[in-house]
Amino acid sequence: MKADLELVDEVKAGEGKAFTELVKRHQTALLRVCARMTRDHELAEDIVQESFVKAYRKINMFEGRSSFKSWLFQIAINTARNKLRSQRFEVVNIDDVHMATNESAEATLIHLDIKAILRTEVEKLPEKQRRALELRIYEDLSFNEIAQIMECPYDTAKANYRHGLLKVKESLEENEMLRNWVGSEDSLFSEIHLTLAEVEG
Amino acid sequence: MKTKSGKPTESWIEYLEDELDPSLREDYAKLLLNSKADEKILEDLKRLRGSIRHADPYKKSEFNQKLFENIMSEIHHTPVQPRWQIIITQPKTWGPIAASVILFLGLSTGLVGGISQKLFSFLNPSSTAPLNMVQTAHDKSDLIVQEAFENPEVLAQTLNLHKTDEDFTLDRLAYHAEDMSDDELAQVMEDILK
Repeated sequence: MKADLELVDEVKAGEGKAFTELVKRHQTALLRVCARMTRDHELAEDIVQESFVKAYRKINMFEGRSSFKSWLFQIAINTARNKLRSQRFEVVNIDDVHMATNESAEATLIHLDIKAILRTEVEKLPEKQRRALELRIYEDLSFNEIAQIMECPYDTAKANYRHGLLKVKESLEENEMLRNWVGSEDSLFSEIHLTLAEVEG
Repeated sequence: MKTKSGKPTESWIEYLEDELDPSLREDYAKLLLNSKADEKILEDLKRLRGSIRHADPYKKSEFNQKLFENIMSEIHHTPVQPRWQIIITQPKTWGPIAASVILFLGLSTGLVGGISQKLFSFLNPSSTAPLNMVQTAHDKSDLIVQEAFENPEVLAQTLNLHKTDEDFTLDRLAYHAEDMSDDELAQVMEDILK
């Protein structure tokens, strides 16, 4: 399998078909990142499409100082940011989010509640911490790649991730619903993990 | 935030992410064997990380064939821009260049003024004609300004604005592009790309 950089060189040399492989490789991850940013699947698809077109058009500006994937993610994140700004996208206030829980079904829906709490806590993080955490945990990117995508120094990328993870940890420890459910604070994370892992199989 | 052993939780995150210096990592690994508190912190962090991953709402995204087809159809009608064209249309290259030019002109004017004054004093120790000194400095600064406009490459080299000769040429071209006819632009591009 050819490396991304080889494919990029082929595109630069006029082999447009090589770009097909690059799209195939990165489309799904890019869509996930954009969907997380916009929370709107259709808008995310538009951004992915626009990002690939931009990347193709400006492929000659890519000098290989970062990985192609980082460069592409950077284009997508900037495109998404501009779109959201232009649409005056309103971020949902976390206080207005009502989880659709049914008290009588609490036992069977507990794993969904936990998932919702986890997602909420991640979404509550400041933007840079959330992005670093999502890129690291969801997309398995290295801190080098995260730094390139977020256009920040390596240590800043790591610090954003670290602070984000700690904040989520503290929020979960203080979450009353989770504490009531688990009973003992000591086993909070093992219970959460077990519940989610069982359901996911 | 510290564990009972005194190791901060932050450094256990570094350990978990394999970001610790190898020598420190060894110490941490040894510590884990003897400290239940540290072991629990690390295990909790692992479980937290795993749980966040499990809760990813987009984890099960599958390849979207329709989106792929849309992208490729759009790409099919999209030309790859030559590098020079991208640089010309990028507005962000102007700011630093303009700032550097202003800075350079400001510094050179002051420098020439200072040198002229010293030279004048040296040659005419008894003279007390400040107006003449200012006039001399002013004339020299005009020369510097004129030189900077006529030979901007000297300015660029002095300030180290460009990584390569090609960058420099393209930036210069960008400067003049608006005033050039299509034919002139095509001719210059042909010369550059030879």
